Amino acid sequence: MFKIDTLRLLKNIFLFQKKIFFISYIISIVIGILFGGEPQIIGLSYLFIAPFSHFFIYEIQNKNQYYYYYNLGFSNVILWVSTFVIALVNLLILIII
Amino acid sequence: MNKLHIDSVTKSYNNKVILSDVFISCQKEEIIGLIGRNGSGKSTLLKIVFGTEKSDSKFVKIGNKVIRNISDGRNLINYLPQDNFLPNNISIRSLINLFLEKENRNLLFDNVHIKPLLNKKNQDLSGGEKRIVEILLIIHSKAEYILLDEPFNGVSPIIRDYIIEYIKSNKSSKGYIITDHDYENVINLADRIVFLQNGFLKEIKDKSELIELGYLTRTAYENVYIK
Repeated sequence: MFKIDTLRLLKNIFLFQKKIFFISYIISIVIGILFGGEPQIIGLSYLFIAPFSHFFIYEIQNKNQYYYYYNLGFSNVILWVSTFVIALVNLLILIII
Repeated sequence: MNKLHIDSVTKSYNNKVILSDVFISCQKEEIIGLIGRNGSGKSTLLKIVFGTEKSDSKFVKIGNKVIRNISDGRNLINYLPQDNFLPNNISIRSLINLFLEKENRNLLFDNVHIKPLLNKKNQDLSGGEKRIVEILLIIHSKAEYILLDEPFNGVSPIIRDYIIEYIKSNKSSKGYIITDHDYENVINLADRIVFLQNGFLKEIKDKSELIELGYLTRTAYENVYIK
């Protein structure tokens, strides 16, 4: 039961991050190509761009959508941490590659 | 039985007192109607209880658990905001799967108003359709207490009546605090009515008190309650 609920909550975090991910990744790839095309540069760009995308998509454009996640028990802090964790994991993967 | 206890809620903004030492308690199987004029602080109070609005002081407890923030209120308090809050670019079926626990999903999948919308995306629904999806999602969440901020906002009379009956028939396991400008329906739906004015909350024992408090005109009162 606990595992099923945790999985559902994780899926909701991915739903939240989906928009941030696609927009940030496209911009990061463009920046990465402009600065030599190294995967690490794409990862570093993503680390800086993802928080801006988060801010623009949710704090400015779709502020009310936060309530969907608040009702699942996610606070602003958790949602912001998820943005940074995904960016760091992405950077780590690209460094290892 | 886990009672919702809201106490010492105080909020000031620009030296103006919005809420002054507000107290409400709500039990399961109880519907509290929160009414007040525009700008009286009804939504602010609900948001403070839910944890999305800061207050100068507050004490919220359910059973023995003190609710200080949104995370503390997980599975205990849910809040329906005034405006649509569902994410776009995802089907209603997927949203139900993601938002609700497995045992409650079929209640929505089989619902006569939700069934035709299951394969549509949130952004393709009308305002009224979005509202009924949101209300049913919140009602069937795991939360023990539901705060509804203008649930009848943008819904047609037939859907409004359906929502009223639905809340009445689903109050056995939850407590509700409802606010809406459609005061007639809030008053008729509520087991208890509380009136917010000048930062203070007053329990209404007799509906005629609403005339003295300046919320209803005598004509409006007589038209609705004395026929």
